[in-house]
Amino acid sequence: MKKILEERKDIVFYIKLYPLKQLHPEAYEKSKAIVCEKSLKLLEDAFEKKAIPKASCETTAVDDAMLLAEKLGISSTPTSVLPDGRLVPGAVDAKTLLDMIGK
Amino acid sequence: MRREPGLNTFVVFCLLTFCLCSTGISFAFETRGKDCTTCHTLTTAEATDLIRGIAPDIKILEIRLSPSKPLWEVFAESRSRKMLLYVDLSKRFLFSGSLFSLKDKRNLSQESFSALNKVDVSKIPLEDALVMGDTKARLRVIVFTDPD
Repeated sequence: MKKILEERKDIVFYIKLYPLKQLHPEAYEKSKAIVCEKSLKLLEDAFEKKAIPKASCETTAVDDAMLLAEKLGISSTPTSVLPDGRLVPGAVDAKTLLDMIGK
Repeated sequence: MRREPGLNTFVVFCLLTFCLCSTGISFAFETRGKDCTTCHTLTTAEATDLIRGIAPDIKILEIRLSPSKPLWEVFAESRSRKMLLYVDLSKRFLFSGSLFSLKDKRNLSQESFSALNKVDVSKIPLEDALVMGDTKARLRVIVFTDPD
């Protein structure tokens, strides 16, 4: 994503936390903590398997995101939703994603 | 003005060759392109009947000829899971899987599926999302990710 943002100033990424509870039991709590702080730094720490603090707020954002993702048929992560509504499952390289986003 | 008969014949010959060849070629392509659907059909009701044996609650959403011509590409839904299936023209075989273009090294099934399975982006709330980049940017990409 960083690579894309360096190249294209007309693209913005919105990241929704969608913990796959069954696969990663701790992901739900971590997601809440990240959403509470709205912190990309915390998300990066979580990716790097660093310990992150407990959720500092009560939020339904993560539960809402989980319900919504299921409703939209998103079953794996990461899944990107392109500006025109196309779903791109899995981690794809910058070039592939840029080709799909188009101009 | 009097023209050279030789030149005239030549012009007529060229025109004739051009017409025959060009119509010949385009005609050939057209029939090839149309071939399958002029002789073959697959209706929603028929597809439902065919696939019901394997997936009893199948709901057919769209049918079209697959990019590899002698296959029907069937977009369907079963237990609220959307899927792409392929039925051959003889209607004796079905496969579910990915069709790749060897020439372009592209997963054609994945591309068809994403085009048919678009979501309404405006239904995704963004207030609680983490932002990377400029919120005023023209193109918004929403990424659902797990922190683990």
